[in-house]
Amino acid sequence: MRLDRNFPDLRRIFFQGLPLGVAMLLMSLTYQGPLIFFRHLASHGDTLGQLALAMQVFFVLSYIPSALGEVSLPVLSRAVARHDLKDRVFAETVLRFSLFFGTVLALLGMALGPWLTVQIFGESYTQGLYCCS
Amino acid sequence: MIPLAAGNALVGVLIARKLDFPVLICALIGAAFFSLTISEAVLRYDAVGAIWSAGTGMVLTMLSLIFFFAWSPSNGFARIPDKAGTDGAVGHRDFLRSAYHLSKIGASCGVCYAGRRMLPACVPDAKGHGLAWRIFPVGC
Repeated sequence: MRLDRNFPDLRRIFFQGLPLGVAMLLMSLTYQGPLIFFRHLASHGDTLGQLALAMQVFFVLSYIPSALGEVSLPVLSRAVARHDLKDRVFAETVLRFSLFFGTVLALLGMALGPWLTVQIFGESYTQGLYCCS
Repeated sequence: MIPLAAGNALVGVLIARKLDFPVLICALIGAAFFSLTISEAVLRYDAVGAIWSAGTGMVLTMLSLIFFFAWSPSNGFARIPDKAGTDGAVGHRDFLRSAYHLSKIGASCGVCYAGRRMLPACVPDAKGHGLAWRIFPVGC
């Protein structure tokens, strides 16, 4: 195996991927940022820890839509190449389903969240419930 | 979870359509809104403010993505105002049109609010702290 030092091609690939890379970085800022900024603003370390703990549920759940988005990319690329508008159907369907299931999940979270957090993390982490609620 | 799931799907569609720069613009809008509101939100509402600020940034990103997705000419949206035209996706028109108008209003409100927050923040305060201090209060 040998490195192909074709720098013009590498540079082209780099600049093609740069906007998307920056976009992904900025998108991750909105859900990683609260912990980073809260670290500078929080007066108590335990409050930061409770916030980090409360956000772990969100981080774990966020892998599901991320995985769905990644696996659908090749199919979407083929749909766009065929011009059959199935990518549009996909986006609209996901929008409708995310609205429905997101609302159901939010209601379930409000109803069962406090009980579930105590069951998973124990009584000592009940302070995290304030962050969740 | 709603903006995250919808945002992932829309990012996938926009990448498949080779619309990388609209994705970058949407991410910039959401990140700018989040960066401008996080300090005040945390100072006012503590941890809940941080979560609300992040959630609002995600919603703004999603609305911007919906706007660019609906605005994209490759899905025939340009022909939607023409009620006589049928481009093979009639059943999806109303939803897409509603989403487009909603995203237009929501993204406009968000951008206006962020601009309203950013303009005074650019002016240094009595201690000489400018925009950078408002975003990174301790780092600067």
